[in-house]
Amino acid sequence: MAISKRDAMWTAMRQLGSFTLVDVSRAAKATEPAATDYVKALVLAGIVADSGEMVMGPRGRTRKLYRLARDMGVDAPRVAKDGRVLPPSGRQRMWRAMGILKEFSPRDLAITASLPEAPVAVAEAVYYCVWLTRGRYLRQAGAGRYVAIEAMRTGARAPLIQRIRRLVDANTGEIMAESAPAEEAS
Amino acid sequence: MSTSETLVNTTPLPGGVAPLQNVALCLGALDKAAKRPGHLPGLVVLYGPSGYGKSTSAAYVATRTDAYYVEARSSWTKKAMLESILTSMDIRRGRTIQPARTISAMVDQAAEQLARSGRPLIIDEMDHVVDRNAVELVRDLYEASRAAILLIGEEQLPGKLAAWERFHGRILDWVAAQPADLDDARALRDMYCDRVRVADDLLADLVAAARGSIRRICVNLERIQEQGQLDGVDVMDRAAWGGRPLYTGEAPRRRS
Repeated sequence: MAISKRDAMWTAMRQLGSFTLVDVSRAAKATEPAATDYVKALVLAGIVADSGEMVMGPRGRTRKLYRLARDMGVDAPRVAKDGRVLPPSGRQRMWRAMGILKEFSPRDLAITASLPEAPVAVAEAVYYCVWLTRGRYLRQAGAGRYVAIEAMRTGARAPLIQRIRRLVDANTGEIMAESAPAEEAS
Repeated sequence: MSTSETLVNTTPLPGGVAPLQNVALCLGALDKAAKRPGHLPGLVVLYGPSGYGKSTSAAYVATRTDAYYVEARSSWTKKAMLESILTSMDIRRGRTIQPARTISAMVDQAAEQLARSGRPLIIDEMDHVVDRNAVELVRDLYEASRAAILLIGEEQLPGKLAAWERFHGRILDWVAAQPADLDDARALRDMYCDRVRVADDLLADLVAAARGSIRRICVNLERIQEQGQLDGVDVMDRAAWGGRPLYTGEAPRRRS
């Protein structure tokens, strides 16, 4: 099951309690720059703190020890580089809203899922509804309206639309090549 | 002067947007629950007849407060209820953090997540929880987390909850859902109508046809806009609409 690097890093931080950047990148199988970016943003957000201690890391280098200052629970906090805590993504908010509304137009969805600081455009709601209909999460119910299919509420996380084309070996299942984000027209 | 702040309340709604009366009432009550002093209870009840936009309000409130949302079912066992709440928190089989095995450990797990995340919980169709005698479970969850919890149910919900004295005492606010009125319709018009303006006279007809339902107003606003675009007009009023039928939902059901 695909989980994001941030989820893996956050889970590692929760489990370790105190950690160096190397600890986080290793436990989450993430690169050290990725761990550095996320931990620094969490420090600015006040969720992780610099413990003030140094520990011996690999190759005899001393490493800064961080500790989890505020455990926010299972979800990896969404933080910007400058430490601002961000709301859930627009798609995440739409996914929750459609489970509550059950029958809706894309406009209903965009309006209920909008935050003043992070509005959802109607076009974005239309695009998401079209994809989720292809994925059988929704079915069309009359002109421009959709019904959420209860049996397809598979969990808390919004289905992702991956904007990449992939070359996959059908024998081994291995991803052989990945393109840059495609300029796929919606 | 310190009084100037209270005289003119310029504070936007918690979370902003959606100046719908039921949404404002719920957000206000939840905000009060979230900021309450320690000795006050933290449960909020929204109740009212079906069709008054309780679930629509719940959708707005869930977005604004980043709430966990579950809808109770008549078939819910205690375990199913907790699994459902945990799933809304992304704690489920196949994920990094799995649900605990016993009911009591699941309560602890869900309560811990509520407390740590600081996010409220919304339980819709709360009547089923009462009917299934699972009210005490919600109380346990509340006691262990002290989180703000919004319970949504039918008109009779307050009466039903009165039987659970220890639960009843933990309710901070009872919010009676209000039927959608002209002010709500105006607010919805501002949010929905970006292509064709809907005049006040037609809006009043629409409120009457909607019989209190926000959803029916929204459906009609969309239809009127589409018709206006077809007709190539910028404003739709009663005359331009010309007595076409408005969407009124199903025929009103008789109460048993």
